Amino acid sequence: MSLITIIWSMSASACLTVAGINLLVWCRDRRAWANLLFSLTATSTAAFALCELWMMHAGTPAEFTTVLKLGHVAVWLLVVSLVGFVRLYLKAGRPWLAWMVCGLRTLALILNFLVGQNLNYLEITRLRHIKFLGESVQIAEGVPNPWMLVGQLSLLALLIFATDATVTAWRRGDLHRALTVGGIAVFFSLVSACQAVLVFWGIVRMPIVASLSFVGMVAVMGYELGSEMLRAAQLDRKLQVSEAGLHEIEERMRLAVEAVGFGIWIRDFVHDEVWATDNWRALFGFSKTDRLEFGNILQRLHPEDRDAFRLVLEKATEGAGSYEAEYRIVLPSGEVRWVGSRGRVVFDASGRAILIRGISQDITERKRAEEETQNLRREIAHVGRVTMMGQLASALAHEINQPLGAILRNAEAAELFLHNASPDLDEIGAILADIRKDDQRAGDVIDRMRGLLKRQNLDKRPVQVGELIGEVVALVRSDAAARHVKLEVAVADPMPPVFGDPVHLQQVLLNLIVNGMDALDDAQREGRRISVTAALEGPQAVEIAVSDSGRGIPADKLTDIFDPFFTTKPKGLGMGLCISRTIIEAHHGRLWAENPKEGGAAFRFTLPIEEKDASP
Amino acid sequence: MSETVPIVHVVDDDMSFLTAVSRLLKAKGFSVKTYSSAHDFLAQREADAPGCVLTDLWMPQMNGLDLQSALAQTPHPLPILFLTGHGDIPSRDRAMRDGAEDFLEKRDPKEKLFDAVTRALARDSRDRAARAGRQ
Repeated sequence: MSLITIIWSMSASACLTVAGINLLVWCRDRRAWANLLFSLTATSTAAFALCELWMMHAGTPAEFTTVLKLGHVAVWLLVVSLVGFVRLYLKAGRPWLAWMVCGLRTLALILNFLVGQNLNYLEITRLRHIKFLGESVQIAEGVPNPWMLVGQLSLLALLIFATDATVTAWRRGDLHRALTVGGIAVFFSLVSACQAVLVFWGIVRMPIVASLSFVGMVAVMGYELGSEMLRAAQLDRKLQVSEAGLHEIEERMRLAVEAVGFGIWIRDFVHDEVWATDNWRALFGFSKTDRLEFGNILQRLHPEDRDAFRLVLEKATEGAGSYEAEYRIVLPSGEVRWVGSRGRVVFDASGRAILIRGISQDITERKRAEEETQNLRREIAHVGRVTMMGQLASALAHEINQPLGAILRNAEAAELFLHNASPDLDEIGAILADIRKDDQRAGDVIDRMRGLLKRQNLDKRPVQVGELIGEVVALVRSDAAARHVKLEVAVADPMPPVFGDPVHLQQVLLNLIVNGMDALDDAQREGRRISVTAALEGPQAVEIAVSDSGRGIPADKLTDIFDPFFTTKPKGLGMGLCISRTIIEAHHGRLWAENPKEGGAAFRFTLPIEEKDASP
Repeated sequence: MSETVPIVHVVDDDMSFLTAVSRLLKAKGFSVKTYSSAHDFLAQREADAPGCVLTDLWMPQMNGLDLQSALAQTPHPLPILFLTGHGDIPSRDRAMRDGAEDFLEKRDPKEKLFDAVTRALARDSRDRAARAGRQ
């Protein structure tokens, strides 16, 4: 067998091997379009190489023409698939240039069949023997087809396209790919284009050997793709190893989570799936095999908590990124459980929620204990209010005697006026209006007393601090005067309304002022003073202070005094401060005691200006 | 000694009661002046004019007992009557010891009030005569 036959047919079979491998890659992974295109490039290179070999051994000009015609089909496929491959693999190259290359090559293929004997010759006049690589091979002689320019223009466009793509990839920093794919494409298409131009225009007498340079290109690119596949395989192996490690970590975490009684659940928005650990399923009353859907999980929630929880989740997925909630669930058996749950949302690059991971925990016991404490406190508060009523009674008696006395005196005056010969009816009218006003005043006092006695939950509304303090001070004024205590009030101006239950807040103030007066009982008469002040404490709170001029509180008792049944008074129950603190905390405020530098004791509490949501 | 009409000075921080009691005294034929605080009275009083004081016991700043001692230190003290919402024995004892004419509850019968005021005015008249005799 001749050397030429060996070289050309081996090149073709090498190309076909590379083509086969890449076709297989594409069959395995249908997204590997670059491999499919490269497989086509290699196949057409092989086909063109065989055409060249055939032409070198052609017997007649007609046979040469036919093979050259077929060869152009292979070249068309080669150019088009190469353009596609470069574009996909380098992710570079201007689309309009790519379309121009394909367009020109397609036009050349059409001309190949329509004008002259083929794209390159209008007519092949004769074949001629020449020596090539020590062998005698055929070359054609005839009239060059001027339309051949279209084909060569397409190769020029290919050069420009490949150069442009290479430069882009290079600038992007993708040096390796730019060189092995872009650079090589440029180099080999330049070589084969030059050879074709020289041969077909009759400048150089030698057979067409363009396929050899394309074979070189296929070899380099095939190597590049092959090593890429190798890297992928190595990565895959590494991934499998780390996956095993990951599984181990997951197992450990699951153990830890189950040990503390947490259940984990994950909601996948993309695939619309919910996954949960076994103890999460047990908590929510699902079996290990039940299919989980968000809808049927939501159905487990107590109807009163369902909408609130849905809202919390919506907030989290719409940007908050995390949630924390406590809600009740109703099991199929009818049992009600409290569940505490918190979680985080995973977003994709466009900010869309793709995943929620959450943990849930049974908090029924804690909730029950909380409820019991709450009930106990309510009881204590009620008892406290009743005992406090004893102290209040004398203050209220005075309060009510004031309007009643005025009513009596007015009525008596009216009687005397009526005994006159010509009674002053205007004056009597004014007296009656005053009587009505004082009756209203007496009624208000009674309502207030009733409000203090009633057991009730907090009824919060905006409360004017000045009015609140004023009302309590009016209640204790006579008591204070009897005990020679000077009451001073200072409310900052302007003062926004606080949010609270006025009756409860009055009770706190009353308690603090009465305590202060008790502390002053053994003080010098002249210096007995209690001041009630109110000032803004930051942008969201008001601080109210009740300070006395007594001896202060022993430093080691500053916190104990708030304990239930702590008292220093022979007749005291020791509940006043405890109840007061409970009330202030129910208002989201703080109550504490301190000994100011100027002497005496000060009780301070804060109240929020705006209402805070109570936790469910 | 001028023959001016004696005046009942009523002092109470509760405007409503102040108006009511002054109406009653006027209807009975007394001349009345009202003050909403002890300070107001001390500032506005006409020295050496005949009359008496009818004051609330419990008032902010200066209470009735303070007014009593302040008045006692002037060269022309007036007889003083106390009014209170409800009984307060220690205060009553102190007031009476310091020479108060009477100690009334706000809702005592009106006759008791009229009697007390009449007595106080009579005493003032006697006191003034005694002071004039000394001079």
